Amino acid sequence: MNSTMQHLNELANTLNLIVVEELIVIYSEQIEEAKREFKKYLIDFQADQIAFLSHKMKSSSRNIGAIELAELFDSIEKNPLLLTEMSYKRMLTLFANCQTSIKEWRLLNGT
Amino acid sequence: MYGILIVEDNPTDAKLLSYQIEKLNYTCHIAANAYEALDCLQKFHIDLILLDWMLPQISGMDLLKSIRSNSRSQKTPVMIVSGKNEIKDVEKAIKTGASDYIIKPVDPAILEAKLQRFLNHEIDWKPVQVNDEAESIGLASFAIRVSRVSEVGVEIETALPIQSGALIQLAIPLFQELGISKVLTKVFSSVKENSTYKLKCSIVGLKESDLQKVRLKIRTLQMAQTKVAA
Repeated sequence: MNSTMQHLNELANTLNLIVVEELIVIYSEQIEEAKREFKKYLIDFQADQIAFLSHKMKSSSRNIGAIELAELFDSIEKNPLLLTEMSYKRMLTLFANCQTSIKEWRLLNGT
Repeated sequence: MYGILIVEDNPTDAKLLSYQIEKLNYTCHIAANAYEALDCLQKFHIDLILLDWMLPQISGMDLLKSIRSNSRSQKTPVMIVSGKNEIKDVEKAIKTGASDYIIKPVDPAILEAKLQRFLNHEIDWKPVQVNDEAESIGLASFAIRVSRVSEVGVEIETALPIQSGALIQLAIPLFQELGISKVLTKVFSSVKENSTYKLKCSIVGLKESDLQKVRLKIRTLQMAQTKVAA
């Protein structure tokens, strides 16, 4: 079981399944928006906007237990120049892994 | 029932905070930006504000200044909830008028304890104007709250890690009423309790005549606080 699934289990125990499901839905929407926004910033570099979006995604990733994503966003927030084609590809991979974990967790919990 | 305003643009943070607050049976209002927050402050009775630092357009710090300049919300406790975790960030927030600081991710037990301390008036908190001159003479200048006053000095609480032996400058209403603009004190003990530092300070740098007034004032304050606690 990976960190995301473990964290979602802990949240379900301390909060409840409905709230966790709501968090997942919100985060999934944020992922899609972040993909578009970061892709845009790769072409049109805006340091402040990149730092701001990274900060927001770092916090949401932590909330959902996606630790590697939170670490990646933390580094980009501190230095927006770290947003490159390579780091963007890594971000997409981590997003995909996270979505797989969420899907598995949903299957296990019947949500 | 107490009304809590959450000013948070990140929907997952807002969701978690609102759930924790509603679980404590407080009424919760959510604002995603400064404009919505000011609107909520006009429309609803708000007892405490949880304010994110990183907001779009108008930052949490600018909103805090606006809250403090408004007579309606001037004395409302404002807790900054932020992922910024450096001492300089906490110091800046407190100097701007924050009542307390919580670092994300928020621990529900710490949030509950801090909310109860403010809402049950366990802390005699008042917004404090900090003398900016302190920076220019190389002293740390912090907003603090007085938890107890005795003959030997004051006991204060702060979110900042301050060590025993440190020289700090107090700018608190007690001394402002006496017309003393700044008071230097030395910390003679510092104890960390959860996220709060409880300090015992001696009062130094005062004239003998001022000390008489301070003692007189201290006695009055001590009695008033005992009454509140009872």
